Amino acid sequence: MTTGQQGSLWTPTRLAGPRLPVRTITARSTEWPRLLDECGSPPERLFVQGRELGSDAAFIAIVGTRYPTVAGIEVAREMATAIAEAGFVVVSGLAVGIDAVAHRAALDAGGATVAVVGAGLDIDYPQRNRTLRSDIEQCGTIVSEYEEGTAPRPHHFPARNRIIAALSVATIVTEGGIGSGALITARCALEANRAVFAVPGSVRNAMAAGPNELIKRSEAVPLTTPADLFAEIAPHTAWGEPSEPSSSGLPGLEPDEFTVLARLDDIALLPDRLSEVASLEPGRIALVLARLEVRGLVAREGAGYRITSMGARLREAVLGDQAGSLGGRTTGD
Amino acid sequence: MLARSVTVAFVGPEARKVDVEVHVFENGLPGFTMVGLAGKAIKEAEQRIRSALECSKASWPNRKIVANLAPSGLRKEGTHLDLALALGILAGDRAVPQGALDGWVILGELALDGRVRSVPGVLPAAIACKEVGLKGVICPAANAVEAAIISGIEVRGVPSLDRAIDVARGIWRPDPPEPPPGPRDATRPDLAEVKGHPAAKRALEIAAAGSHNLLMSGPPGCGKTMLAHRLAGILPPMTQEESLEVSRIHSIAGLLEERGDLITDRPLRSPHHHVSLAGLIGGGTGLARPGEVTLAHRGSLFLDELPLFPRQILESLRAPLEEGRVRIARSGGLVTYPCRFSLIGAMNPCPCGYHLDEKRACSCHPAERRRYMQKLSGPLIDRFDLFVGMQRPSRAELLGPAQGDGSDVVRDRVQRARARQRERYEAQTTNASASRKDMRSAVHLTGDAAQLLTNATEAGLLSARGLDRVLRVALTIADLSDELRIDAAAMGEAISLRVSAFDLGSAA
Repeated sequence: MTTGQQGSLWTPTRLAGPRLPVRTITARSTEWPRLLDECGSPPERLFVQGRELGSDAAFIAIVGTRYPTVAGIEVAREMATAIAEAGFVVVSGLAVGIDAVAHRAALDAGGATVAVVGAGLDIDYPQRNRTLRSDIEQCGTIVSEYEEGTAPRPHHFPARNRIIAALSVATIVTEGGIGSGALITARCALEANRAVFAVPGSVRNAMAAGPNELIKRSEAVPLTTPADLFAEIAPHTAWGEPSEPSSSGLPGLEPDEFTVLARLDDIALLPDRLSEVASLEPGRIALVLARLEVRGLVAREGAGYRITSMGARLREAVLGDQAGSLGGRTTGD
Repeated sequence: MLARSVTVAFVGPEARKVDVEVHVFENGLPGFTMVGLAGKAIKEAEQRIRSALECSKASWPNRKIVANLAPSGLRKEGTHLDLALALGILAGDRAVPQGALDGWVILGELALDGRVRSVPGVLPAAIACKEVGLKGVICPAANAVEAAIISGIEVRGVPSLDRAIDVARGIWRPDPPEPPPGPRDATRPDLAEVKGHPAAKRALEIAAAGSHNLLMSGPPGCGKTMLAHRLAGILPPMTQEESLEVSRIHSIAGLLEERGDLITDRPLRSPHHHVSLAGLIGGGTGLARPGEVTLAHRGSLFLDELPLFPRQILESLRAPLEEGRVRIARSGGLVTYPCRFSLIGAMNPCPCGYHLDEKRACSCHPAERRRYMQKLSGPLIDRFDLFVGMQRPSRAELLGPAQGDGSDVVRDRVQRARARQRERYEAQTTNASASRKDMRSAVHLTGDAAQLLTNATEAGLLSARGLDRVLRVALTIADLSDELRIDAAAMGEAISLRVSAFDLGSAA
């Protein structure tokens, strides 16, 4: 949730330059998404810029914290890409963090995206996402419940979250602390009887606490791959599964590289600790980490290293190959 | 009568000969005038000298007195001219023989009761004395040991004006200054005392071998300061010339008095993050004082809590690091101080210090952490070639025996690596400081190493500048292993030790 910034000390600025025309739509308009009416307190009217919303389009919401971990970012990107490639529309809130990643990934995949904001359409907030906003105006839609000139206030955000949830057939919570806005959106989705998915995370990741809690309470379906999503909501969807790297397809991992990879997760570890647990000399660790980093299988975070999605997949693939068909492959059978 | 004495004025780290001409007139109204661009403290000399003379066996001549400090165009600052002026006045009054003053460089500040107070800069004055071929130095007794460092000149340390007069009249001579106590390497910190941190120790060795700048990151109390203090111990010892250079600078800063002898250990300066710009770079009003960067010349400058230093202060380090010298503008022109030092930085990974710590959770708000990291982006980060993370040593490590090589062993390796660099480049250039051309022509990669480097560049891990720095570090690693070519192991290690702005911050 936004705090502090929205106090009386901060005055919002208006967006500069030529603006797209703003349409006002109500339940009587043809553009009005039907699903909006099926929630507890539907909006009376919405202000819209950009592409038509289309009453038949299938919207899927991706929400999450403003301060995601790199793992959260990668997952959000992967999900948004898969959703856009399958022809669905990614909905989010144009906030910094997960929202921005999801919007950007959808655009990059050539898809449409809808951003629901908590201020007037002419207000430049959040400023950091100015470029993203103008890109969305070209290829997607910006929506607001508030008249032009309205500044973003804290109580606008839970309200806009309910619209995000109401618009979408499903809401994906990627990362967020307990009590974060993402969880509010999940609650709205549940109350509107929509599907809620949550990405489980490491117990050491504070940002995974929200999704983990939702899963524990059986309020959300655990989501580890786009296949989980489509299996639930659109079983007949044809979507392009990213080709699983098998250890025969890619250049293999040397034993030392695998040893190190096996010891990493998304919490970064320092090389000293790695050389202890992997029983490798510091000099050898440095070379192994460099090779892994160069291949994109691990990434630096501060002075430590963590595994990337690609690294995790390769590790799974190698484990799978090692254990035969009983190995832990990430896709379902 | 016209009399002469000789003293010095300080320009940067050097002392320049100043001729003090004193004319005690036969006629004219009594009064004292001083010419020759004397600074404020010198203008006040009259009162000090008068009072000191009153308390001594001689007396202030009640005549017209004019003193000139030549060369008249050179600005003079400081209180050390008191003694030369006083003796000059006495010589002009025929109270001491003129011949007695010839050939001596005289310095000292006079207290109102006639005592001679110690002054900074006696060592460079002694050096200047020898260089211009004068006989010796008359200086405060407290500084006599300093002057005695320079062989080939005589030293007369005087505690009071009376004794100075006795020396001039030839009726007293001080005992030779006591030689300083023996060499002090008993307490030198050793690398083996540091428990754990193999990666950081290795990075320290590489930093020493190639004079690379090192940045350490880790939670409070994990040992960053300990390690910084041990860099000097693994660097090759200073040459006589370097010792003299460093001692000279410290003498000017007034830091040599307590020790009294030549500085043989490489200096380590650790300014607090509230240091002022003048304190760090040098300057200040009046005399252009050497700053921390100059006091760290031939040694290391340790910046602890790096993100807490104001940006402006960190920016000001850029030119000194690049040029190896600081130029301070003064109304008389530019004063140049040398400042070739190794830079060591230490930082917490976040404001609370426990990001990435395995036992304690980070309590920072992500926005706080991001703001903290952003302070380090840009030009200052570019100055570091090596970045290493440290974690708190485990209990077992702390209680266990000393591990790893001692400082002597590491120093040997460092010296051998330095020897290779001496053969490779012209004097005093290292892998870190060599020109790009010179460094590149020394780089020979194995096929594997070249492949790794290409992959790293293509993966976007290295900017052009990053590539340059990785090569320098890889070259140093090869030097340490006594290899002619940089192999994949050296390249890999260099890549994993690199620093880049992105890596420092947390996500997004």
